[in-house]
Amino acid sequence: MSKNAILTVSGLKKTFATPQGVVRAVDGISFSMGAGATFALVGESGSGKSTAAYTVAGAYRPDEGDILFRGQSIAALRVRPHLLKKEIRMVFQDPGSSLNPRRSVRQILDLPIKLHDDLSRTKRAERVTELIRLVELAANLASRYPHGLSGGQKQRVAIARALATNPSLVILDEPTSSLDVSVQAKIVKLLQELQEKFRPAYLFITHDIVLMRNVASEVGVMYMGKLCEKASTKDFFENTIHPYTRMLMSSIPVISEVEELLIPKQLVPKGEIPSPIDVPPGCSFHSRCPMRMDICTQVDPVMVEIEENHVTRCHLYQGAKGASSSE
Amino acid sequence: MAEKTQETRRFFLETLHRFSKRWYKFSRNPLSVLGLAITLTIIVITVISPYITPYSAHVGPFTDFPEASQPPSTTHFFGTDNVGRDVFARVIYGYRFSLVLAIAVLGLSVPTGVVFGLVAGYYEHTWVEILIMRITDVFLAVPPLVLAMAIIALLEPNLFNQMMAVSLTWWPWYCRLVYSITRSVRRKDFVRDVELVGASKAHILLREILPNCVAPVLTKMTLDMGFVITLGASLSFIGLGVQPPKPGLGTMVAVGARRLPSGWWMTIFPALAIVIVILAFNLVGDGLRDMFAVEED
Amino acid sequence: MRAMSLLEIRDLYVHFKTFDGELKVLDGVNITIFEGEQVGLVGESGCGKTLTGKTILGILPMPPGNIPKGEIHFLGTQILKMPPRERRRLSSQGLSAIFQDPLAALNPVYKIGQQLGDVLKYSAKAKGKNLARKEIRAQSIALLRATGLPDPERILNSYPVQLSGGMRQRVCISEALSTGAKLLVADEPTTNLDVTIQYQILKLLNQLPEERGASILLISHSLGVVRNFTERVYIMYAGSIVETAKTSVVFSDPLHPYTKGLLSSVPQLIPKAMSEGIKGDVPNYLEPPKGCRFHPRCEHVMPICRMEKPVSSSSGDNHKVACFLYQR
Repeated sequence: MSKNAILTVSGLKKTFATPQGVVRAVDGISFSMGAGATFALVGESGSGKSTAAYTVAGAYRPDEGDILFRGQSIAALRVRPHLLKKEIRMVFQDPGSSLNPRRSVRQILDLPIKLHDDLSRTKRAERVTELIRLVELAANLASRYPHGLSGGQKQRVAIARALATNPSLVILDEPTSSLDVSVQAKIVKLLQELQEKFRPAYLFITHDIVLMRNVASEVGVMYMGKLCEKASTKDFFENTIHPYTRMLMSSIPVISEVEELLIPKQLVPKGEIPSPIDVPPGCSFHSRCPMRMDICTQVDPVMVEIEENHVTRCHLYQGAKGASSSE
Repeated sequence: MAEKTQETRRFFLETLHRFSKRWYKFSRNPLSVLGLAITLTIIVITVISPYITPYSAHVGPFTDFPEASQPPSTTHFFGTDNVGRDVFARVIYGYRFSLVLAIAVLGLSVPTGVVFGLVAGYYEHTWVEILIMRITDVFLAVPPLVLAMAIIALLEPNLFNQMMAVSLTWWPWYCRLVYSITRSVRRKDFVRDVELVGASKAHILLREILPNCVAPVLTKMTLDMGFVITLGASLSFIGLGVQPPKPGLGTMVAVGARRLPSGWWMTIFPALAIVIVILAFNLVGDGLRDMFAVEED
Repeated sequence: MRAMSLLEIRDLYVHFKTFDGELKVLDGVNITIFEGEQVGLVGESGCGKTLTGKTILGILPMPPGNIPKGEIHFLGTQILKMPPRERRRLSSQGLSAIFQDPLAALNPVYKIGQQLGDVLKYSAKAKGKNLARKEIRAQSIALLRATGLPDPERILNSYPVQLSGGMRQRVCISEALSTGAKLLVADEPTTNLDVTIQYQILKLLNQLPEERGASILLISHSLGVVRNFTERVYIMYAGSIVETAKTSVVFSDPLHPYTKGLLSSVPQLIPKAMSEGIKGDVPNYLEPPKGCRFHPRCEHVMPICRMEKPVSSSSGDNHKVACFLYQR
């Protein structure tokens, strides 16, 4: 865990009690992020990535584990201090429901400023206009309501809203999943430019692992509440190790021959994600894993380091510690 | 400065555009427009009643036995009742009672119900919700007419108590409506965002959630006008509302009913008046529902 | 060149009346599908691809929608001119569909067995046959097995909510195949599914032309999906087809500026800077741009693009582009 980490999550767990049983949405994940970095948390449905994001954001209180923000433990707080609420902000997945349809853009952007900055009314209005321009929208959109905006425009407003308090950590929960690919490209570019200007750290939740290739500095893949593999982006894509991650990569429909060479072909995706209530014993992936061994059905593997800063949780690698390395 | 006026002008134009779009949706159904026309006519009539009829005195204690029980004619459009009072004038003034009742009842029960609904819906799974919703359930379990009767029977039958009684039977419906809307809106991302950024609970309930309840509440209010008037007329009919000689529509129907079928005008016209006003509000309510239906596309 | 096409859309225009005016969405669409083919229709949201699908299937709400011009031929018959009753019977003659949300396509209060059974029963009736219950059950089981569902008996006895997204979509595919599908219109069939499940469903759809002689029209916004699961593709922008060719050709040698822009916007596994997307926004259908609808966003715009609409012309082996850059 690095020294100037802005966020450190260790052993985070969050369970939900449902009528059908207990769901261990987040079942012990650990990672850390430096200031101004982008950490991608990747997973399919049921992986727990959104729950993890919401827990870090403060919507849920973790059941176990710790969250350190700038070195301070915030997991146990019942109510987060007001100052913390401006430091950690969130951009949600569905622009349709993340903006109040009955409030104008101006009203939506004014609120975070009003709550955290002591500015006069006119100064606030100026700041709102500034924010709108910052996300490359025309200033006259301020009086519009969300239903008068396109999906891309709505997400820009959501980003402006998140950045209104100049946060040091922005959690982005699938911010571009509902957008067209050409719009997605623009939004991601905007996010990168804003990060260069204001240096927030981004915790980027997504199911689109390809998107993260050129966006994230570090990638972690979740499956059924646990991290299976975590590495710096370069190492991750050049040396994908965990069977689930490899299965994920092999099912991506790529658009060029160059990329075809990069994806593992041997692992054909099969099977369904098991119900989160009925988690199989041992490694949660064993029911679908083509390299399953006896031990996988009984013992849950622990994280081991394969190379520097590249960890994975799989019995195939339990023995291999350290290994290949620096050239 | 010029920018400010330009913005105000644009705001004005946009609001105008929004309203004309809403009107378009409303007017798709000609019946709704008809309902609106009738409603507005009735409201206007109620306000200017003294100027429409020369028989304003007939509304109070007035008798003119020589003119009693006259069928509809050119001097008395709806005829006269058993003591010689002009039925038309009394019907028009009767509308006043009905509308005042409806406005008063809704004015009391809607804010009460809405506030309780917001609080109960937001504080789900806590004792607050349980308390409020169980009380609501108790009120809802008793049929409105019976409940209102019981309350008025304890007090004196008059318009004021009628208003109180009906209000008490009405607020739970709004509570339940707003409760269910609040429960679903509360889960939306924009509410979560506002919670996370540190807004006060008052702000969340009143500025974020409440505006999302306006459309269904307004629609229900319009439809309810009809129902409240019916309830008021029913109470008057059984003698627990507006007392004679005051011209409550329900009272008039009751008094005139004894003189059927010979003095048919004494009952039919007040009854028709009730039917028309309820129908009109219902049609407007339908139109409002269409208007709010799909805001997009 | 095969003799008769299965589906042929000729010069289709579809407009919508709204409060603000008439939305002129489809602007002369031409699509041809032959037997046993896997054809893709790709475009971003709002380009009209779903609208095209709905028009083919006849499920377009016609008061706000209207078709000022155009023909659709299915198995040689002009279906746009058919009376609604006959149009509905097309589903038993081989025109079926699967949609994006299988949960919405299945009735939540009936078991799968009942729904699938109903489809089989009524499509047989439309052909004048009467199926016995045992026969229906046997066919249902066979269909579910054919779409890769293990334990079909249990599925028949389940409600839609009890199944996973991938399983529901397979059930929908079974229903679509039950009528002896010749053309399966698949409108974003895997958008709601996880990528590992998506792969399996698309692979299943890919086997249909061989196994059942069915053609597939795969409508999607995902270039990756279309590249890997279709043999021919149509690229759509703002209501018209801008480019079409064999899939491998379009991806290796895109011609239309929109196609190029779209391809460059897709994130890739190789390290490179994120793309800038395509400048500008999708056009307003109330007042679409004159001439080529893409011209306001095009890097190579020429004066003629602003005035005339480019017609699709051949540029190589069965590769058609609608762009003035490629017209003599």
